[in-house]
Amino acid sequence: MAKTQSSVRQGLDETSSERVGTYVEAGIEAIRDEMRRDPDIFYMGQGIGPRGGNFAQTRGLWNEFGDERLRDTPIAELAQVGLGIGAALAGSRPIVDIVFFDFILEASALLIQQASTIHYISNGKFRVPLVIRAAMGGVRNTGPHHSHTFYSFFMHIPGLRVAVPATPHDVKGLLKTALRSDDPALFIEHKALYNAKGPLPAQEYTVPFGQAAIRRPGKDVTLIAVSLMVSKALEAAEILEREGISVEVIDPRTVAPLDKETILQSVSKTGRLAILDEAYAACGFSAEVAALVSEEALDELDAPIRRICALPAPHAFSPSLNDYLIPSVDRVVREVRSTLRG
Amino acid sequence: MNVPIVMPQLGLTMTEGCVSDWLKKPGEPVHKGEPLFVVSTDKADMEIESPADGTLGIPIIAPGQVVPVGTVLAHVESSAETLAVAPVIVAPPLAEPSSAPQEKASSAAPEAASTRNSAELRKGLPPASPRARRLARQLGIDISSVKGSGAGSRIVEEDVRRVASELRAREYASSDHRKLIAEAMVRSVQTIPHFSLRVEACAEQWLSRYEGLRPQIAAKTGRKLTLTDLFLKALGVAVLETPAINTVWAERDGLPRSEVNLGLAVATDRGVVAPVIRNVATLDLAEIVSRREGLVDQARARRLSLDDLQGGVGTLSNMGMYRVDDFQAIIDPKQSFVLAVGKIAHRPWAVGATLTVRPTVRLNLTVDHRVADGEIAARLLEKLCGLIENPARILGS
Amino acid sequence: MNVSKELVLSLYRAMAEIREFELKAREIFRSGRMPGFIHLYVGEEAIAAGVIACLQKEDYVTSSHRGHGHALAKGIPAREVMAELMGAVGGCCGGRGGSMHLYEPAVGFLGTNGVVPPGIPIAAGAALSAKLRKTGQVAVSFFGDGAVNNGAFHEALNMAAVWELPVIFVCENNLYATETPFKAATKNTSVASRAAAYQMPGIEVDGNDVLAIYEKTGQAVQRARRGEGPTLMECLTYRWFGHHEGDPGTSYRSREEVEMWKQRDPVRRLREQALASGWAEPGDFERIDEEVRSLIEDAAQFALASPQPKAATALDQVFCD
Repeated sequence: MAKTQSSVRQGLDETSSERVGTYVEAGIEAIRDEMRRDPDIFYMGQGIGPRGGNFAQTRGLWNEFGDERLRDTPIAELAQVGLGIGAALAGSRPIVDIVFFDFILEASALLIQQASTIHYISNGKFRVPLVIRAAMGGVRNTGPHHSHTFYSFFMHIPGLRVAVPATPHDVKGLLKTALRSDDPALFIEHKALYNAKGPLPAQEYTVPFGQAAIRRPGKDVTLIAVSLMVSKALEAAEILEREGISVEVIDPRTVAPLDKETILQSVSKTGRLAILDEAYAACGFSAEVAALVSEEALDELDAPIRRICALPAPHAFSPSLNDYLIPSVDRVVREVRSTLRG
Repeated sequence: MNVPIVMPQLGLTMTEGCVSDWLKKPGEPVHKGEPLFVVSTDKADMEIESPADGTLGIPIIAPGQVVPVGTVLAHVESSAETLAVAPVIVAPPLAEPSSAPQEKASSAAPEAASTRNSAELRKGLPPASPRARRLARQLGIDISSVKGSGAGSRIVEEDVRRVASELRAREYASSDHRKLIAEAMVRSVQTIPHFSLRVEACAEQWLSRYEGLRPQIAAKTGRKLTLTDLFLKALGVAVLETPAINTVWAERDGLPRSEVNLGLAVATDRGVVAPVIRNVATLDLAEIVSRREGLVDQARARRLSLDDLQGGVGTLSNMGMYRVDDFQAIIDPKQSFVLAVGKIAHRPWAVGATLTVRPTVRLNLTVDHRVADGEIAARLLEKLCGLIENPARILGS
Repeated sequence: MNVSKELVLSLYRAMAEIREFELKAREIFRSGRMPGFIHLYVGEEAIAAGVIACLQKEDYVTSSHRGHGHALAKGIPAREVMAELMGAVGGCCGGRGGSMHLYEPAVGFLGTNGVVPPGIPIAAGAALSAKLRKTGQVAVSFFGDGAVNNGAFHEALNMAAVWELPVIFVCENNLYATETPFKAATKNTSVASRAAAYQMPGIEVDGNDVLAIYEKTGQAVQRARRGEGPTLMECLTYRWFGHHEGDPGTSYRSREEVEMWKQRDPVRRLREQALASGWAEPGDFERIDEEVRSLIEDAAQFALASPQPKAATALDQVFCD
């Protein structure tokens, strides 16, 4: 993995003369480009063929690539992933769409025990160029079986890549990187972002793994967030700016590999760190970043690290409960502000 | 229960002090009211009594270290607790052979106390952020001397920076001040290519105006007008009207400043300091008197802040109260000039071709040649003499 | 079936090599020099030999925890398999995998496996790839009776059937999953009959009859290559030893039962059948026996001499890029 040279400054609201597109269009565009380029790529999942996917995430692809390369599967996540691994070992480059990220649990053993280990265990003789695509997070109150954001489970496993894009630009660029990588990768989108608009360059480009984006520069406190939480972080930063608190918002974009350098540099500058995560705090992404900073930059800290995470209860269906459990902009503002009191 | 021993408030103006001596050793029994330690202040040394019965713990603050009033210096551990905790502290039978000599029991007590005190020591340390601790290490600041402003009184980076700045200011007022002066003077002489101009001015009207103004100022403000105040005003106006000299070499840009900030040399029992009066040219006399009085008091009380000492373009040094006719002063290394003013005395004075005797004053201006040439210095002195000889423009009539 | 001397001797040789390898591995294991734990294939050799004889080098195989026989039959050199069992650099995976993680792309060997079911969907996936890439390759998955009551078996067979994938599912039914008798684990003890659930052919074959296995597999492979989809084969067999080296294998099986199955030794059986049928001479077998002994002795010496990998390489190859 090439080491980060410098982080790309890329705010979500950046206006430019560039083409604008949605997050879901960005994914389709990346897949279409790559499937045209590489005949070994095929796509399987539930309802992703003629129907175009639960979230319209494959709309139009079946018309171009047909039944062979856009394969609707039975409801059998374990077989989807298992066949994906086998096909990858045999020289294909499968994309396995799990649709709701929650359902990856049905097949996680295969990712963790098989896909992540084979390259290493075979002494580099085999590669597993498998992309798992899924949509995580809550949108319009989806309850306890359709709302999870436990992408950090997979950060724990050596041999897996985990991308969690926040913008249309990054969806296209990171998905292309995933599809060209020979390592198994989880490409995890956010349901609530599918209709989000942003710059979507028509030309060919990729976004490398392990390179964070500084979404907003600041000097008083570093706020780390990925995926949907990036927009909440930026909203909170805006509010805090009016109070004279300058927040630096960093979006790592991939959590494995994690751009440690950019995080550590930012904390050296600000001396304060908050991590915003839609997932739970325990053993999660926020815990990992906090541990990183306390291990490698303790002396830079001028205040305790704050973690702003989902409260530890299952995802409730009722909007009033769920809104309370998931970090709100208000909560982010409050918690980030508290770091300034030391 | 442990009773903290704190740096006491010994008088109205005391904000900090240092323990010069502990009269008891750690682990020694103490009684309430018994002298425990000596505090040194700028005024005197004072014995302070123990606040409680018990045993003296290990001092947290080293003798000689200046700390704010209220800082915990050590604890007195009450006898009750020592007894209560003693069984826990005593080593388990295996660790202590049953044949241990009797004396060992008594010698074990201080050891036990010191074990407990090291825990107390930790408790006594203020909470500080890692960043603040690192900065304190780098700046050589004792973290326990810093008061925290963060949540739970945690010391944060800003607090350490504040203390560092106060310490720098305090250095001027410390007993090491002599050394600082020496260094500054050597630096000045070695690094500033300087020259001096000397002039004598007739001070007849100057004195009479001074006599006239003195009761007015006294009536208006209750303060005492001094000749120094008049010289400050005159020098301020002269500098303002000679903008080429109102700059310092260190700033490099060579741009004149918009206001005239002048240092005033003040003798204290620890040596000379020169607090800065800002915007001298535009202050009226009453304001100058009040600023000057305030700064001189603070200088003598060693209470000047770093801010009070920074930002001057030149300094006025008036030795007129002594039998000094004239003298040459040395430029503060961060400034451009110094004006040395001697005693106003009746001296021979030629008026045209006629020799008279008038009160005169001898002025000696030393200038950083990098900032200004002789011609500019001459113009400054010219203006100054004009104001002294015809004070109506600045002092009224 | 037309049985040639060449076929008989090659099947014999494959079985004899596996038998000799396993006995040598057992000897080294018992000497305390081999790390980890191993599951021996003795008694089941006919299945690996008979099935893999029908495959090309580029065809795919996935295997199980009891997989040394499949690896050897598919063509990984005995030296490299034995060294891998020792965790040594001379192993086919440089010692990183060990007994349950043998891989070799050069012969289409997609791994023995420490987990019972995953080889089944992985083989189906390799078959899917072959179908998409139109290479004519087939894939074979070997698994024990312990795998067929797991959900992965169902999901993979169902998907292979509906997509008509070129894959042969070979169940080596040795009647016990570790110590649990198959009849205690399922009501329907006929694995072959389960094929009906997926509308694919289900074949039951004597797992100790290498020629029968060879014949039935050949039909299934042809069917797969013709694009007619998967086949489920159930080979009835028996392991002579315990589940793993160190398990006596006698607390849940009677000595009589073990003895009965030893009498059905697939290696001796082929030899006797061949001699009786005049397909080969005793000298042919003796020559092979001698070659195999020397091959395995050489493999053992090689493996025992091969060094352990350097600790500094422990973090290499976690990722490709």
